[in-house]
Amino acid sequence: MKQVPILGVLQVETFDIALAAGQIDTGCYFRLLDQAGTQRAELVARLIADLEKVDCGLRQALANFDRAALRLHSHVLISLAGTFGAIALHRTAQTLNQSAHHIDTATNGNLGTIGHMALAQLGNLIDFVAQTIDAP
Amino acid sequence: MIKTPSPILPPLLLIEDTPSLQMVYRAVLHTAGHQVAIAGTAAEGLALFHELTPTVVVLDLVLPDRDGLDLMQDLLALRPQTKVIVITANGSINKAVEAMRAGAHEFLVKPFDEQRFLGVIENAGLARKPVRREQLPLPSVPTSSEAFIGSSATMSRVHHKIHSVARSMATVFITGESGTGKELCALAVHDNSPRAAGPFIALNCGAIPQDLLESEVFGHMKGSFTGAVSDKPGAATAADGGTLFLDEVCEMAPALQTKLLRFLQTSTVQPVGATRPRKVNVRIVCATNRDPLDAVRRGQFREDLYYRLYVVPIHMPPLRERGNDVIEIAEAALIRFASEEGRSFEGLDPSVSSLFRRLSWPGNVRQVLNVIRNVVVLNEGGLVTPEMLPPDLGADSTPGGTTPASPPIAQANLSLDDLVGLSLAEVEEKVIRATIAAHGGSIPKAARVLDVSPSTLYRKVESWSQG
Repeated sequence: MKQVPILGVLQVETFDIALAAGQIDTGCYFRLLDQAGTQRAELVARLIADLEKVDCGLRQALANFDRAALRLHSHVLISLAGTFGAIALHRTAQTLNQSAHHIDTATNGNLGTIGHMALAQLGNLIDFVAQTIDAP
Repeated sequence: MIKTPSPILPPLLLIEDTPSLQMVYRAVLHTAGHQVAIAGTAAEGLALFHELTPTVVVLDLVLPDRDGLDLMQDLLALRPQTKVIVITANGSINKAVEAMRAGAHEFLVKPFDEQRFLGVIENAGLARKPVRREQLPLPSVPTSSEAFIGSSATMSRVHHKIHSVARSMATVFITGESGTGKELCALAVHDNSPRAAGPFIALNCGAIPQDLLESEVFGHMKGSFTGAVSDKPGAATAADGGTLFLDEVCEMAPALQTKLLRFLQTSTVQPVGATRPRKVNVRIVCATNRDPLDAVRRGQFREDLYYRLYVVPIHMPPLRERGNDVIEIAEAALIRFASEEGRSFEGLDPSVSSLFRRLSWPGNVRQVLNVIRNVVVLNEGGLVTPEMLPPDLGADSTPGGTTPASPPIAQANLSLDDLVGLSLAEVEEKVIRATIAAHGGSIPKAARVLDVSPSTLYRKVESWSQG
């Protein structure tokens, strides 16, 4: 289980991470891999790279409460999660993106909570995708 | 099956910065037979645009080196006839609105399903011929493709069935509740068929007085009855070479059902008052929001006609069975209506999305469109919050739910005697409510008839509901 730094204090996540297997439309995911044909391995590798880039960007953005960066990375995450069938992460990313658009600074606490939920689900998705590199 | 890319069509330019998404879109487009050039930044996109002169550009509005909207404006300045399809996630819906106002051809909200993606690309002019379409008066239907938006498995099955049946000549029978997009389904069957270049004639059998319906379907000769001042070809003749769509077919009177059956058996039409029939080549698509077999059991619909028409059934699912499609539809409608009304909305608040998913939507897509139109007209912009929604929406009180007011639906038949003795304001309210009721609860349709803007009617109805 990943540990997520929150404002410099290490905590084990207290919110519901949910298993990746139950949160991903595997039919959708593998259909895209099949469509990639001989470039399947390359697609998986690029997907992992894209997800890890978002992961890194979100962590920095959350640490600094950088709303512009949160909007940017959650925008990419909405696209990736939605396209590849990560249903719950897609919704979380949408919520994060909408929260990051709000100017009201009283939602910083909410941003942190939603952001770390997104990171947890994102971590599960990266683990899932990594397992499919050699899957038939 | 992978189609061979056409050497005649110019490549499509895709400007998307996320590498894995580039690969997915390219694979989808290649499979459909399109050549694709890909750029990962605005600068690369502009360079490829100069080099390749594509007719269609698919452009992500959020790019690493530049705002996608700025880039779009540069592309259109260089070549105004370019069809730019903008893509965005829902957090940037207001940017999609701006893009539409600035000249974008169409928008897509990520993640979009493959069918819709390819449909939008093809509609942008890569592979379509112009079609001639005529429509006789119909009750209000979704005036855009919102009914076909949706990435749910349920709608994917509908899309698949449409593509499967479109190529044949078999009669298609579409069922579904009011507001689910049956006419759009019929149009999709026509557009995907070999008859796409021919006419698409739609006729609502429930909206036309029964004593005029035979003339509307089969035409009449001048002088054949009082009011027949000239020859009229009729819908079946007008659809020759194309598709005839009969909506609410179960409302057809028994005598006309007999004539329709003969038409289906012989492919000939005989206008009212004509001495000789003529042969026509028409594909029939029909629809009803009733249970056709139940109509047969009740003796309201001929059994032999039912079996003649019910060859390939397609059922348009109610919105409540389409999962998250209601959100995709609402967001697309928000963009379109905001653009039309000159407003700027950011999207749906999570509590609104959650509410929308829970509602049963008895009026289906039409109801969603009316709710979103109501929100856009009565509010300036920002995030759509629960406070902006019609007050009775959560109660799901009105079948069809197309008006925000809670009083009973007004009777459609209003006589002058009902109005004498009332104040002018009361007369106006009665006439407006009766007009809305006469058009199936559709405010936009009633507004067209009354020659006022829909926003005027929404404001009046809202003010009456507030007492």
